[in-house]
Amino acid sequence: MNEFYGTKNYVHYIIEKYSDMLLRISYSYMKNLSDAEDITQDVFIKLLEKKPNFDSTEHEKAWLIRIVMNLSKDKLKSAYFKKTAPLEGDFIDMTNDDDEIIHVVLNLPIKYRSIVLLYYYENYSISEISNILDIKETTIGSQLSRARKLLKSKLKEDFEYE
Amino acid sequence: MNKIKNSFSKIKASDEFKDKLAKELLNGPKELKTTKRNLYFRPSIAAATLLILIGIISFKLIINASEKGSTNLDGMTYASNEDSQINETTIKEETQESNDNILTTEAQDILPSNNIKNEIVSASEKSSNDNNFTNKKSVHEDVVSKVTETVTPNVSDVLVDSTNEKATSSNYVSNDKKNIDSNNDVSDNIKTFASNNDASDNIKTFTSNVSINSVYIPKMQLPKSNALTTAKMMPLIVYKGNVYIYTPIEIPSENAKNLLGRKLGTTKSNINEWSTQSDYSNEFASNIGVTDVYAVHGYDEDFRIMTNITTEDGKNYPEYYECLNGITVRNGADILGKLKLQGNITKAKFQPFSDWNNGTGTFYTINDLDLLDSLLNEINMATPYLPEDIETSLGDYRNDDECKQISFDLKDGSKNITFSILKSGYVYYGYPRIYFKIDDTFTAELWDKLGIMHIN
Repeated sequence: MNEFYGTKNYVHYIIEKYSDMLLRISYSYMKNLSDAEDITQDVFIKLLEKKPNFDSTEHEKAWLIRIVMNLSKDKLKSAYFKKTAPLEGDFIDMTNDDDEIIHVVLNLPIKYRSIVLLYYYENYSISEISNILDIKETTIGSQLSRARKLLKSKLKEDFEYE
Repeated sequence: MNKIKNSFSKIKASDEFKDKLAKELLNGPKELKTTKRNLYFRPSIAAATLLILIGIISFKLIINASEKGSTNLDGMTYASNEDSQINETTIKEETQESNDNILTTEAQDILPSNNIKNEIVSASEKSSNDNNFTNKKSVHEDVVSKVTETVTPNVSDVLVDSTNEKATSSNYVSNDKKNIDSNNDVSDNIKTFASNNDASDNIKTFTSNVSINSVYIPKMQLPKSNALTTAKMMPLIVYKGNVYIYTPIEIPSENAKNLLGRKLGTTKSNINEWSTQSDYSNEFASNIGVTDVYAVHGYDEDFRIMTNITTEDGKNYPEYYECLNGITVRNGADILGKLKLQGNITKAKFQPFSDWNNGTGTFYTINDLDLLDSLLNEINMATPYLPEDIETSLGDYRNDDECKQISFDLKDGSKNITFSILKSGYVYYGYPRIYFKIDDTFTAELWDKLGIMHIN
């Protein structure tokens, strides 16, 4: 994969393959598209700069997920960002139902959001999420369970283990 | 149908954004708007930086040499290598350990406080900068490495109460409020200490038996640079030179305030996949972002510290971080004592392995108080084992027949303090993992009773 790095094809490849996922995860933290796009771009820059050696595409994907989460958290904690007002969901065209679900997920405590997305959207198992986030399986399990309860109480729908 | 998936599939990168992104990425770092690109070192800048560093080091050496010639306290501040070698050798002979790194670490932890006290008193005549004592443990190590008198401890005695010894030596440093060396020398010493142990390929602990029925768990290590992409990055905070790891213990929002102790400091968020061991030497280094760190009411801060985030709606999100490395464990009481379970349990429950592993949230309450008391007593007396000594013989126990998770809720509001219990009679808690062997007869009784509770 190394000789592929930095080439035009590689840039198009990573953008096509990962930009939606990275934007989605970042959006779950930032709650606005503009910041999510900035962070997505930063992730790609980091990838091109660091040129990590990936064992597989799964490894590559997991690395990107971890980086996008770290950069999102960093931005949320930055002094500049704390002084700004979020523009929540103004730029995404969606139905009322979608809007409600996204709104409820985005209002979960921050540590649950990424786990919910990885579990329900990216279809990772608890064990895989544990490896990606480097958090114990038991922690992922309990956080997912708590997130489900919160979602259930707000959406009146049972999000059981699938 | 997964409604979350459907809803979130609407959030995607626009074609316009992708085009713009492709253009910017293909134009190279100079064209990108991110400020991070400034940190990208070109070879020429890297070479210049290296030259400057060499200059600083040379200057420091010259200054050190000139100081050495102008003071009569050189023997204390800059102990000769010969002396420290004698000291190390003596300890090595006493302990008869084969692992040099562990021995060195261990020796630094178990040296008698007399040495340290003498050293501090003597060294205090040289300098008066009090700021060096923010990291007592580091200073302790620094002092130990410079011991000039080879008073060698009885290793087994020291091991019996190594925790107290550590506290005592720290107190000497704290109470005397004397200086031993400059900040730079202290940090250099820490770095040297770290680099001596830089033999691992991943973040992991090196453990070794130090005496019969006791195990020593040295401090956490950073991986070598070539293994960083696969390194396991656990949520952690460095405090007093020790690494505290995130625990999944739950603390309800309403209990957070009662548990919050004094503020210890603020994390620096300076550890990431590319950090070096020197980053770990920074006080409050962390990979969890910037957040305040507190002591925990009722718990030893050498073992447990906490963070807490209060959101706009007034809700608290506290988290515990525990230090279970750099310690000697003789039996289960060494861990249970830190957790303060006995007499404080308000609720106990268990999960079969699959419920725990899948995060189903299904628990079975344990109402048999006598059974709980017996379990805690058994763990208190249990013998510790290191994973490398025991896991091979345990086989793959990750199934419902052989593994259950028992969780305790405490009076102070802490919830889900979880122990894994194996049918083979081993119990473990936390990270790094230490196994405790409990009585086989009791294990069989416990297993039967939990099985009945499961059915009922």
